[in-house]
Amino acid sequence: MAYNTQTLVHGDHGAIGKRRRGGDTGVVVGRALLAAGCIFLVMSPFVLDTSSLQISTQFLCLATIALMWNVLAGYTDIMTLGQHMFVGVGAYAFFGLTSLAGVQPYAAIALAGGVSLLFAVPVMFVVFRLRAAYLAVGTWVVAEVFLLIAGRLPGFGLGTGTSLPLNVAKAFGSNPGSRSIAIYLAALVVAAAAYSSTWLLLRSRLGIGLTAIRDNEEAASSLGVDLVKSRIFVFLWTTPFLGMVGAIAALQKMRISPQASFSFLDWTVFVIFIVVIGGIGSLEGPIIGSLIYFALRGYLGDLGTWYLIALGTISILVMLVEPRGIWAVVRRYIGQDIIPVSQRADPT
Amino acid sequence: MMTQQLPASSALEQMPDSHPLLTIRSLGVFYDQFRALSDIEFCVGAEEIVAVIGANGAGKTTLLKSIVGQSGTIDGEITFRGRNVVGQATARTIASGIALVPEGRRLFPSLTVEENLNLGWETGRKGEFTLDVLYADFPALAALRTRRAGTLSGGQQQLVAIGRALLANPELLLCDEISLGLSPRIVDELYEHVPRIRARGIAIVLVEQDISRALSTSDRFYCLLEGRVSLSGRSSQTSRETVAHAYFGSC
Amino acid sequence: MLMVDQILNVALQGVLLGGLYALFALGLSLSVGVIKLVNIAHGDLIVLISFALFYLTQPLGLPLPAAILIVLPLAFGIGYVLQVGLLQRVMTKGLLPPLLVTFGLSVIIQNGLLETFGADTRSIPGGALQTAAIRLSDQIYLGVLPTLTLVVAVACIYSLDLLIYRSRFGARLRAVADSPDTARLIGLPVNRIYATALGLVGITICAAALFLGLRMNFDPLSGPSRLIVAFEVIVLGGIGNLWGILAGAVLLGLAQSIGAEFDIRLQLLSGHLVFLLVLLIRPEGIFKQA
Repeated sequence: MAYNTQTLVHGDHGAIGKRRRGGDTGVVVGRALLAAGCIFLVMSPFVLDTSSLQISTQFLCLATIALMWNVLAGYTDIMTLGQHMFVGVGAYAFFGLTSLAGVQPYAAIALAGGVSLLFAVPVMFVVFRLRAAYLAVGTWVVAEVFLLIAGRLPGFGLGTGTSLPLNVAKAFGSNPGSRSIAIYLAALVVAAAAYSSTWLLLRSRLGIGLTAIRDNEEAASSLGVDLVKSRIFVFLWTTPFLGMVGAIAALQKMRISPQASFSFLDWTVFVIFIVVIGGIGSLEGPIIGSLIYFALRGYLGDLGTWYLIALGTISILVMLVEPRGIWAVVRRYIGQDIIPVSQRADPT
Repeated sequence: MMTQQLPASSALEQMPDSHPLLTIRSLGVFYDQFRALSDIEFCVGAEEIVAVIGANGAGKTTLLKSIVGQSGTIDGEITFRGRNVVGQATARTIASGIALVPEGRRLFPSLTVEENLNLGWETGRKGEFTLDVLYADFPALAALRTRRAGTLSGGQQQLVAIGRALLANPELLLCDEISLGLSPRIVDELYEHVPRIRARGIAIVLVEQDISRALSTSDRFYCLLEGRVSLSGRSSQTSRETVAHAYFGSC
Repeated sequence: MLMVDQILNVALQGVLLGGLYALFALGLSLSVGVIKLVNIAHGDLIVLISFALFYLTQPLGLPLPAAILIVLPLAFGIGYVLQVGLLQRVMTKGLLPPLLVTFGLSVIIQNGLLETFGADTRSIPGGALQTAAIRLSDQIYLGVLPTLTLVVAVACIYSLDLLIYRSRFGARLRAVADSPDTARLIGLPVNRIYATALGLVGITICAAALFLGLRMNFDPLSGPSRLIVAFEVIVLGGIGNLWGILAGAVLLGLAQSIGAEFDIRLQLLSGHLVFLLVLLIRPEGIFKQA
């Protein structure tokens, strides 16, 4: 069952031969916005209060996971419905490493990513026996298994979960204020690492192959791009980042539990909506989507169910009208990527 | 490139019946930005056999598909029995008397021969061809009726595809390369059916790559080159060499 | 003697559970086979119909047979409209859009039900039917409702088998499943056939919803777990194989039943583990594709 993303995500046909009037100004503005955003993110600990900082932390976590789902779905045609399992594994690993094994908490965040990667190998081995839609639901099933097993682990609080011990929290700061700054910075580092390394990956030889797959799988295959190896690599690539986000999320809540750490809603449902609305198959898409998510949450967040209904409806509309999301519309106007990934010449 | 096209009016004059069954004027067909056909003038009279000759990619299949409404964007005119069929749903066109034997047979492999044939009967007009009549005319088909279509040989599949189209009781039968991938002996056998089909009052358009066979079977012919008609005329009055020139576009 | 009876009962309950699971999987198998669509909202549609039946019988007080008569055409209509109004537009855009659309639909249905009915678990009252059981021995109970479920499941599979393989409509379904492009070329109304197929899926969903509601509790968020069951069943039984559905469902039911016997909380996990095991060893399922 081969995917055909030709119509879903293909090149900038809308701008063939034309430099839109918005063109260069648009790119400059976009890059300026991006730079300003980055500076703001770095300065946030000095500028924002604790609760705003915590929201920013959530933003960074979400943007990271969104990027990972997007890389899988947008560049290798793997739609996963189970990535929340790696987030949960990261959370539980973080707890296990710090509370049970006494590992230094900052290191534990990174190691949590490593544990997720380790688990990813057998998971991949199993789910890659399926393709396309079956693979998607298959990952969901495996995630369910992880959730159920996590709820049976003694030492991790069984079905109700448990709190992170205070000494772990204290390692990040002596008071809640400084802790939230430290956690925020950790999230910032993870997000920065995720985005910059993924950017480099996409610009590398492997990445060009991935972009080729994104545009036309059959053509890519006939050019010698190894689909199987690419898929395996990318699938594994995403998991450490998912794990680290899981660790940070556990830190923020100061708790692990099967339902919260392996939350399908938080780490898969919202993420998919974000990427779909923002734009699959680009680096800008997940960022835009995350921003929209938080903007909307400000207005609708209290009405949990209506928020979800709204997101779901918008996602469906996006699929009907412009499958490549908001970013695709913006990009048609601008004519270029703000974060340049592809090295192909723009057709003039 | 030698482009000799008889103007449409004189093509009409050469026909026994001056009211053609199918008329195509100024037909252009696009797929996205690719122009598959340009300025096609084409007509078929009742009970005529017209050949469409050309190399791969010349636009022959596109021409047939555009008649039944399964091609890209069309501009121009296609008139069948006086009515414009451009933009008409395929189901309606078939129900009004045009049937297609698609390129590559295109049977439904998991269905039996009889099920495949029945589908042709269900989507077409009701007329003299029923399953029993077809089996009587084509005993080879009757022998295969319960076999799954995917298990048949190429020649057998081609026969089923023709039978499926005939069961739609068409006035115009469009045959897209029925010789494709088949041995000459089998093709000879298939082509023996062509005059028998015409004898039942059905006009036939034969798409063919083999120039000789096309000329020897048809009354008139059109040669397509890169989406245009490069030559047309009466088959009996045209030499193979002349057509070959138009086929390859050599001067 | 006691031990054997116990084992037999566990096996029996597993088989009977398989009947219910087969009903869940029927609609999914049909949409996968004909429209080539794995409907992420499949479980949620079952729950939606269950709520419809609940609403008609509880607050509105209609007798169950009347409610069923109302809901059956409604379910057909939902399937038909879903195809024509929504899925038809995304089917041609690749394989990701239909998945994402049904995913969005799943979330919308869940939250819509939450808004309308609240988070409480519900069930469909079936009166004496729900508790009646035939006692075959000390340890072996043959519940009337579970048995009826299995019988209905087998009847549905049998009817579908007849419909798909021995009727004119079934030939059209299979033709469109073989090749929609060829079907269009010979003048078959492909979109209408797809829509009717999905309407048929709606009817099977109705059967699933009825017995789900009678046998178990459900709440607005129960959909995904039904989808997962249906999915596991069709992968276990072999995608595209009607009678394989029954085999896969019984296998899953048995796995869960045995797991539950050790510890009730192991029920779901046992099912998943057997599924993963079969996936590892024999990915094409128990029966190969028909």
